[in-house]
Amino acid sequence: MAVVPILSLLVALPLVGAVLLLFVGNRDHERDRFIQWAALGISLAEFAATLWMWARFDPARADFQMVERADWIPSFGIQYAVGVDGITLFLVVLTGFLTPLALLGSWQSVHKKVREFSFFMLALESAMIGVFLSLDMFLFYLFWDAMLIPMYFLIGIWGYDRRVYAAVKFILYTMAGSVLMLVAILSLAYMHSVATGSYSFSYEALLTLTIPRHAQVWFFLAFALAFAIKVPLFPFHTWLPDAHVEAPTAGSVILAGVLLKMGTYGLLRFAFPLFPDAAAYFSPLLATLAVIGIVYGALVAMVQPDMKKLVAYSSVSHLGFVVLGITAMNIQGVQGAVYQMLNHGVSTGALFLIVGMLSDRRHTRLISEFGGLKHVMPKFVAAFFVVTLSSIGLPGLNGFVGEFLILFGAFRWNVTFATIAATGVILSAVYMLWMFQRVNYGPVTNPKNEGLKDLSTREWWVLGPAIAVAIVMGVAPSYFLNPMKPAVNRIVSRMAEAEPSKVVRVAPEAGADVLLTAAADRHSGTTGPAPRSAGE
Amino acid sequence: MAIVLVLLAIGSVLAGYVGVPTVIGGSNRIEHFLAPSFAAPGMDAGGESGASHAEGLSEAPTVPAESTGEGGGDPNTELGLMAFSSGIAVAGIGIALFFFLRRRDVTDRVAASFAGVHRVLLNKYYVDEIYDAAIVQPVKNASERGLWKVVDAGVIDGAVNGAGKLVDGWSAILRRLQTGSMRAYALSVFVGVVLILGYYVWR
Repeated sequence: MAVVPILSLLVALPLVGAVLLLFVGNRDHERDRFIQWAALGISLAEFAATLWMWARFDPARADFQMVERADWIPSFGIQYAVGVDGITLFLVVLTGFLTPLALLGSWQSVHKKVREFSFFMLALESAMIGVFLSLDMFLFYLFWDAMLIPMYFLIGIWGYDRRVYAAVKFILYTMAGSVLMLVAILSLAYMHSVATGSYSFSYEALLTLTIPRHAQVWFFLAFALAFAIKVPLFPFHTWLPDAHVEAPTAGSVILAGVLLKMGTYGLLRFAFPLFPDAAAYFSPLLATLAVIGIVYGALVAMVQPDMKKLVAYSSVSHLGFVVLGITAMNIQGVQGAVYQMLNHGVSTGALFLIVGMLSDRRHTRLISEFGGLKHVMPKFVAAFFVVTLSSIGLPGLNGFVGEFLILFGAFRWNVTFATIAATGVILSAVYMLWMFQRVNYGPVTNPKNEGLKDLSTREWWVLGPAIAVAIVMGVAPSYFLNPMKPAVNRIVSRMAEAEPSKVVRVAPEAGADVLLTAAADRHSGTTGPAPRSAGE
Repeated sequence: MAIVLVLLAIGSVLAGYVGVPTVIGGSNRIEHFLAPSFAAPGMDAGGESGASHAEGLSEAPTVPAESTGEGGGDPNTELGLMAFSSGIAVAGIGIALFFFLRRRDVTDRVAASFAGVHRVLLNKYYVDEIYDAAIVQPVKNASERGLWKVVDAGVIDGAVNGAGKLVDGWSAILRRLQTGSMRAYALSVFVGVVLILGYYVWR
């Protein structure tokens, strides 16, 4: 059916554009402008292509769509294979959406090496989309590591004062985790050759493997560690505040908006479905870390003097919610988790853009330097307010839907986790509103703030789309939830198979319904704590 | 600000009609307002599969059972309560009318003669201050000094950077072996050969 190889186009377009940009001469203001416009144009074309993919997506199907396959290294069973399902669909669209905003947001803050900056941003976009679309573990790993390189340079070259420290810490920390995952991927391919006689890195082929439980435990730990660092799950989060604070605005937006989702996406796509027994065994541990992260991230965010660091720690808290939803492994929890990944991308992306705008104007991000901005730049403060509320999860805006579904799903699994996590909702209001109040209300105490310019047209184009999406996702969630449901069901019902005893328990119904019921029922509070018979 | 109070007054009158007492022919309509949400946990924003819908229905009877049987009650009690609460409201309006519209001077004198009570009331029973001292400041201080500076920057990040420093430290020692001097390398090769040969000869 694929007349146009749309997914390959999505992966290739930004990279090809980025390479072409390298042929434009630089060191000249006019050329820089041209490069900025060209990069923006490429990223907008890419966004249009992601929307096209969405339009062609069949929301009723649970499997991968628009699949393209080609043998790459046949002797090792390595393929070029890309495909999209309901979970990756919106993550790809989100990537396409945030990249132009990030480029436009750094229109004036990036002065040096504009060509290289645009190159790395677009190359990064290709790698990120490749990570989401890969159906071959080898290809996935390739994109996964390729993604680190542009981000390393973005932080290291265009960052703030301690940029080199932050860039090195970022790349070493995340590499350390992903190398273990590489070992696990290689041994999976080996297991496939033992079982069937040929190597394969294909995700769907590896799903059919029967992996002994003791091996699952090690595989799961290797994958989960790589993803936990990326999320970042408490206590693997300390690279994040450094990387976020030192990164340029565009880097922070992409880092928070898309890169962090790689971790939760990896857990959901690979760690859980490939090793269901081990995943079921480790779920309570992961959920414990997630819940600690929610509360801990919020409390530490609350006392940060630097706005950017505050938003960075708030990401630890928000991503804890996503992990909690995944570990609950019921339909609400997982749907909420995917939804919250999108929300966090939009809200936190916009928050970093907002902090970037203040930083452009004042060259400081300290909360104590501001105050009373609503008298000086009312339009900016209005936009700031909507984004703040969206981050808190006010009903009617996007954050509410995700948090609600996650807490709901978590509640059906484990009341204790859900209850502690719910305090994170309150704390998010505390740190966000307190920051908002100190920055925007009261009298203008610092004379340097008196002449600040309100939002420019360009800045409206940066914040407007994010606010619009936050509202649409808040009032019409079913647009997004329906297409992701079949794919979520597929993972949840696969996880239900991990506990045969539970499937037997609800045996009266027949066929596939049994699995679904088990999935939905598995974690319900009425049956008490779910027996974790899976691992030893 | 008066317009806000007017709006609130209209709202409070309307709110009263949501649950009209049975004795004057109404019913507590808000009582079951949220019941459908509890009846079918599967029916949230995303919609749900048939399977968990069925599960939701099976739970349905348990929840509303707890909340029924509250309203209604004895008509005399109901009337009595209505009269009592209306009386308090009217009395409050009357006192306010007297103090603030008729005899403004009396308020100051009352305030002076009950200085302690006046101060407590003026400061809203010190609820904000108690809350600040008992919850806000402790949480803030513990987060800043404990969680952030000690746990996060000290312990967790210290371990991360410590791992880096450990490698760095070992490398600083090991790199002394890489002197670049050919003679030293040749000597170490020679010593190695002697040791290996010695092992096999005297094994």
